[in-house]
Amino acid sequence: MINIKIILLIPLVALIVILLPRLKNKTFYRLMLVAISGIGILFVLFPSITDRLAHFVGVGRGADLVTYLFMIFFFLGGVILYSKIRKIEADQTELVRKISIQNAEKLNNK
Amino acid sequence: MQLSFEPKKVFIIIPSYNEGKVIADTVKPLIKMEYTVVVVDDCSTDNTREALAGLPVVYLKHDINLGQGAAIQTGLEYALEKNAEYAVTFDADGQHNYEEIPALLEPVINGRADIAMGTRFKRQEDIANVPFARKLILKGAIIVNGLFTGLWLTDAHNGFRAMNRTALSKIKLRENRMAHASEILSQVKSNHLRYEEVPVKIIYTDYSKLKGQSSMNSINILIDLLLKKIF
Repeated sequence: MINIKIILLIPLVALIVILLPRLKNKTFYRLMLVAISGIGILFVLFPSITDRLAHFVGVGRGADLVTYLFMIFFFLGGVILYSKIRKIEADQTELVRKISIQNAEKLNNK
Repeated sequence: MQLSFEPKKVFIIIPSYNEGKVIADTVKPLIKMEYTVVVVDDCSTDNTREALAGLPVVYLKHDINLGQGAAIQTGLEYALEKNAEYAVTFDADGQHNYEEIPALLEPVINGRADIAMGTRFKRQEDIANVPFARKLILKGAIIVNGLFTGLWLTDAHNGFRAMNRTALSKIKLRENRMAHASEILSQVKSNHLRYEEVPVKIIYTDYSKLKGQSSMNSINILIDLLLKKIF
């Protein structure tokens, strides 16, 4: 039991240690990072919490509840990332368009 | 039909991606008619630019491949900026007939429409010309477009269009890939642009069939349309 706890804790702690200093001026993301990793660490250290939560919302096992929550967050994350990519694509398009119009050339003048 | 217009003020927008083999043949008759020819090179990796060397065309180059919708929008913005009176979108692969440009322009020049859209489903001889599989997919696309945009046309994905400055200033394509064909319709509708369909002949050559969209791509277009509704 101790071994799996260590394996699971390493990435969670690493996430905080590595990402927290990088997210300068992004208070919201920093808080989210600490909150989500913190909850993860808590669940790893005290799995019985998830069982109690699971019973409370009517799910059989704590591990099942964690799986369901993971699916929701994974999907949400995908949606958020996708809308960001669309925004970046739109900006990139504007930029490429601007450059191409600025550099318009008449090919017979060469 | 007597039409008076200055060909130089008609900008022919040709979005082009790896059409080096045919692009010169496509633009030469347009140059002869003294139109202003604008080729938008969507980051081709072939000899498109060399093929056009020495020809009096305006060459716009995307430094990143963005898609046909984006290329058309670049051409339209250039036309607007350079005070074009009319803009015509024209396929690079030789599918469109340059002799039909005046007929397409007619409703726009005579003030009946802000945008004229070519259709291959009005004249019997044009309909007979469309390969069966294409017909099936296009009919499906017409229904999808109708449901999405509220505009029920006879042809859904015809790249042959003519517009005046009102349409030029109103239409702003954000769908970079092929879903722009539906996007144009929804913007025609939302901007209350007057439109007319003009029968045109689509020339299906072996080359254009090979280079044209594969039928599977219609599924991608549908997905793009759905995503646009969501985001």
